[in-house]
Amino acid sequence: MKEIKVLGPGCANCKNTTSLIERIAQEKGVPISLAKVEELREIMSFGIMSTPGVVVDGKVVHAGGVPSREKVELWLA
Amino acid sequence: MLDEAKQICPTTTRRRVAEGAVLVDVREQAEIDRLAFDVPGLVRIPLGELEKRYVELPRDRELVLACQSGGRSLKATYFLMYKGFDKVANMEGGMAKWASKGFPVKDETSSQQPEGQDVGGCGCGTSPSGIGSCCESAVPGEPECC
Repeated sequence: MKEIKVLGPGCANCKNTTSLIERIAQEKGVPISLAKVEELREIMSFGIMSTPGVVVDGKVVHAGGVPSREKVELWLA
Repeated sequence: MLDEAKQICPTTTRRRVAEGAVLVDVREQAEIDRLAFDVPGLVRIPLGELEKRYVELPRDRELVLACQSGGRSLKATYFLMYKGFDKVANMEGGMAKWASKGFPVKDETSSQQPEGQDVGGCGCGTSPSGIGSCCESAVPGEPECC
């Protein structure tokens, strides 16, 4: 199971990113563990200056703006 | 996980700067144009440029990050901690609290200085006995923080 974290202060883009990942994972039947990280100190522990950030299995794969569908599909491949 | 950022009030910041710390203003130019810190050795790096320009900052001196109210500079403080800076602190309350205490500022458009307001103590919102209060770092003989 992929462990995914969406890092952000709870802004609209953060929510949209979370929804997009959930939707694509469901469509593709990929089991994921999705967590939202909203606390500044924890976000900054990944060195993320632009949110939303996305961490997959401990690795930062995205920072700033809602990721594209194609990008999310690659994470879940 | 990063440690909790160190937070200090404007009074402590002013003392630390006098002792050699560098005040780093992460506000945007438009904000600086309205009211600027009048502090020797001040460094200005807007938050949006910090990722590219943090290498300009000295690692061997204490850095105090400041913005308008203390939120963005807290983020900047954590970013520098992530990058391995170990002598960094955030100035709680930012320019708003600094100016309310009547500390040195420059109005770069009119060169007028605002009147200081007595907000009581350092205005940090923490009691002198509170854990994590900026007042803990007040040094005997120095002007009291709170």
